Amino acid sequence: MNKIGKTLSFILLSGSLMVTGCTNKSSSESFSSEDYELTNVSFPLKENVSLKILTSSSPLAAEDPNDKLIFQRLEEKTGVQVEWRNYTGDVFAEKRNLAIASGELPDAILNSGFSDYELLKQAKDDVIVPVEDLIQYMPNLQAVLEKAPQYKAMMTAPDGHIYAFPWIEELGEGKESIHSVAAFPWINKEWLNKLGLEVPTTTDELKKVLIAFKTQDPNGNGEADEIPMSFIINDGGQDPQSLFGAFGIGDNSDFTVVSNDGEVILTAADEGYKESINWLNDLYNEGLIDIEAFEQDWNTYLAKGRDKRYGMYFTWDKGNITGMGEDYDLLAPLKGPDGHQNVGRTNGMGFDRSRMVITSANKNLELTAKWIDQLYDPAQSVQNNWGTFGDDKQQNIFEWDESASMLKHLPLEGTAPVELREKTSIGGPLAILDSYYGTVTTKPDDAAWRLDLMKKVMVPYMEADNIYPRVFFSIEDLDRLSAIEADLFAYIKRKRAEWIANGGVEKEWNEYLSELDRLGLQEWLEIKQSGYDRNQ
Amino acid sequence: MNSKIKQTKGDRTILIINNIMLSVIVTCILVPLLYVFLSSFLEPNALIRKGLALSATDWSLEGYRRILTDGTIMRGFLNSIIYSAGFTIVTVGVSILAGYTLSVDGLVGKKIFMIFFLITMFFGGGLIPTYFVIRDLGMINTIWAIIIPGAVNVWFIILARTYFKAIPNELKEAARIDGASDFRIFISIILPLCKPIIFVLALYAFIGQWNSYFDAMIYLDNRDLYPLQLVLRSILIQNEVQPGMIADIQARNEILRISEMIRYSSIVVASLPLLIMYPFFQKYFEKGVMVGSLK
Repeated sequence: MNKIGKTLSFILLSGSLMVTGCTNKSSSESFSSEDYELTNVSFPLKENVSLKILTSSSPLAAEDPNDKLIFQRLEEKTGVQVEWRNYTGDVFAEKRNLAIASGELPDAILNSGFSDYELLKQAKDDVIVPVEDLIQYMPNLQAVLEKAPQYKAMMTAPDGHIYAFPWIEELGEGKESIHSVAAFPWINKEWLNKLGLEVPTTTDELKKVLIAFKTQDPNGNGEADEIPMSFIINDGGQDPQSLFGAFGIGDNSDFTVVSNDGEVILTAADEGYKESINWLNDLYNEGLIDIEAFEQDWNTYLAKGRDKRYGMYFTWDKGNITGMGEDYDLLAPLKGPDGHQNVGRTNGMGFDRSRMVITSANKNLELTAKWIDQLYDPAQSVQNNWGTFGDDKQQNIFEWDESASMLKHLPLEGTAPVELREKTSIGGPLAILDSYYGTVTTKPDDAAWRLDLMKKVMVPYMEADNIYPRVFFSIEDLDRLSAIEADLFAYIKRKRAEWIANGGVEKEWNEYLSELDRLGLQEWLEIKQSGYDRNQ
Repeated sequence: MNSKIKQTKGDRTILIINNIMLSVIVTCILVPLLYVFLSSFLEPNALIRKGLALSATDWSLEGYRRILTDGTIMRGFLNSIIYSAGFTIVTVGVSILAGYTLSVDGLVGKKIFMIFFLITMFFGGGLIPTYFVIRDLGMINTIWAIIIPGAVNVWFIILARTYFKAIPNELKEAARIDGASDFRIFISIILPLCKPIIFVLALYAFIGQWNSYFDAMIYLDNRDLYPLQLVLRSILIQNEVQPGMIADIQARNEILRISEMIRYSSIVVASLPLLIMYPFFQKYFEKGVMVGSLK
């Protein structure tokens, strides 16, 4: 290569590097609306305005939310056009964080899905704005909070601000709530009948029944392939927690209960908890508990259930495991050795704090608040949650009953309700109070059936008057709680499984209690207690 | 005529041990592959209940039927092929050109260029600044956001450069004496000699692009542009189930059933192109990966 060639290639190469180094002039297009200068907004609007909202939806649903009938009707009603940026749930969190980090803020985020921690963090970074002053523009939300004032405390952050609009779905109130007991125990009635046994009412009787299931071949195939009792340990609705009530205060998935005097208690440090574990260990030693109960996943659990191999098992709704037939029946809370009969309540409730936030880029706060308020209209809320009526392009969840002016559930005709709900509903902020059933809408069939069971079988034995509500903790408290829970709960869950399978709970109990203290139990109780007191 | 040299006892022992070890390794690799392949034809419930029982009643093409009739999966498959092929062409082109230039003796500032490239191997701009650049170049939501940003792969350039350096200078000199220009030398002499490295780089690039989803997730908004991996991800992961929401408890069961059904068949479909490509590339592959060890 000659000299000129060398120099030339050098210039060319460095030139090309410089070209790529040059940037276009930055055109930071923001995704928020201009200031329309609207005051005293009333719908339908005469002006032609649009809001820009970021949202997420199911992959089953239409890509453009404006294709959903609910939003089309809403646009007609309000005159507000909504420009969506919609992502499916699996990429939404990344896209949302990218929009925030790159400063391309929308006017608002629907189905924002922030955790409490993120919510407080975004508020601190001025990404989202407090909305408590906007509630004055929101008559529907005001009405909801008037009827159900307990939610106001849960919406409010420890600093006194409200940062997000919540999702409220009540199915039954108080003890009768559908969440009261998550892990329903289902017992095989067919096997009981075949062996001529009564439905057990005490823990001792249950043991005898399970032994009979194991030894007397109730399914009549000549093989001892029956599984007297199965569960998935530490897996919410599949955990045997609902049996713990026979020995004391009962148990739930977050090991937190509140006594009737308003004291927060860790179930896993209670004397009754020890006895429950001891009893389960006894059953395990007799070979009455599925040996896979400690490691199986949902699919394995389901497969054995479909084959009807269980004498007794735990889940939210038997329809998911053994079908809706008559062969399995809900077992009422058992009497313990000293005659105690109780079932522990879960802390579950249909409340999600952060369903919609307004960002600091929003210049039309009143308009946005009034638009969001439309979502809290009773009939609108019901449709947003479950789906709508009168769509001639696809199946409908509801029909509109003109005479009673309420929504009525239609029969599903084979479609999975989930699929239909995800296609037609929009989620978002909404409120469905228990008082709406019968006036605004009918109850969904599956929920009505379970609520009925809850009321008849479980509620009469429920001792606890209080549950631990969704307390909004401060960032500092959340930091401490998550640091403690990471060790504390892992240890409790490990020990629980270990003791049921290998025994030793009596011997190790004191050691276990001091280990709980070492992992920060007292501090945890303190934070939880002050949170509870603040929420009253 | 048998002119084999008689093997000594030691040779034979080594050979036997070698064979045994190799068959163990091959089994270890083959068994999971076979398991996935066979599972993809089985009814998911039967698979959980009985494992790989090969009775005819359990066979089912349901998983494949769902995949082939699902428009999004097939579109994702096509997108993936386009992205991977496009990315391969661009990346290999860039790597070969840059690698050759940097291998030429006496290039002014060679060291500086090399350092310039090497820095990018260790330091990146970070996600958000990179996103800004891509956005301001107007590439968001286009195929270019997938193909261009990763096109300069320094590792590929180094591989290519090492390979070119091994080509004797005399070849180029001879060509020059015959009156060939630099460009001519590259096209007529060098390129035919470097097929192995081209194929190796192509395979690396193709596989890398085929399996990636992150860039697509960040830069693409339009679901019609999603590559296969992103489509599969949305089907298999879906929304996290939040405890306590009635609809979600049912959703979880439905989703688990569907994802179980298509899990294995989607793995087979997603790895098919690579499995088909591999035998064709293999003869170059053996030669090519040795490149680094020559120096």
